[in-house]
Amino acid sequence: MNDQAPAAFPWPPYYGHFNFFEARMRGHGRIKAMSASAEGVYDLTLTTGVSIRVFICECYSFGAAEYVETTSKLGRLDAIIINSAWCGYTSDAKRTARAEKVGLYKIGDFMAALNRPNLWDYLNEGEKEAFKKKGWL
Amino acid sequence: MNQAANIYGFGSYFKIHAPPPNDIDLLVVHQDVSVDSISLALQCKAVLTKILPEAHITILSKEEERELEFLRRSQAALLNTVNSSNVSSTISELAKSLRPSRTADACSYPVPSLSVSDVHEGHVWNLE
Repeated sequence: MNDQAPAAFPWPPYYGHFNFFEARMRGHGRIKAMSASAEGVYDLTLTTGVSIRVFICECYSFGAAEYVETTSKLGRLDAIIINSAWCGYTSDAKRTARAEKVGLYKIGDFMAALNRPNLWDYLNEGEKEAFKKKGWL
Repeated sequence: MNQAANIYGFGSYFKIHAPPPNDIDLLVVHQDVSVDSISLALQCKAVLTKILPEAHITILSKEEERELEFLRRSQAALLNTVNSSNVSSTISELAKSLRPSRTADACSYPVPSLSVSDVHEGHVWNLE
């Protein structure tokens, strides 16, 4: 991967560190095949035969507006993964994505969601609580 | 409906005596997650990216910012407020104010000592 930070959409992969994601996917029992499609976009084939398109994001904080921007520029995605320990996403972004059957997760939750039939639907325990509190569940 | 968004600066570009970084971290805080509000925020990002290609731009609604406490955590400072009627002109002025400010030694808009109340809503810098 390129170590230079391109100015192109959407966020520069500051260190080009997709290696961690790739290693985790290679080690996941539900992943049959993986191919890099564009900067930060991967096509994964599950053992069920289903193909999913995921975007690896290294932004500081992923909000609802950034979800709109991402999908308008990259087209249909099945999952967006926030790939940095210091980065996160908002409840509104998660809710907006989920309503369109797009999963939004940190990498650990994506690993868990891959074991579910509807991976976009997955909420971790904290999110379940937060969504209930907001009246979204 | 006329929408508004606040633009904040944070990170090493805005710190006194920090080595001059290659990028400028900016945060756009817009009203809510309505279509109009998101549209304004994305318009701000597009104009900022065009004028300041070295800028890294984060976008959050007010509620999202409150959830993440981004302003407090990043010690972001309010740079300007953009309305849907003046996006290009306001951001052009903002860019002019930011660009010449940075020297190798210091930023001419130093971050002052901030109180908790200042940080909650972001600290306002005078860019004149």
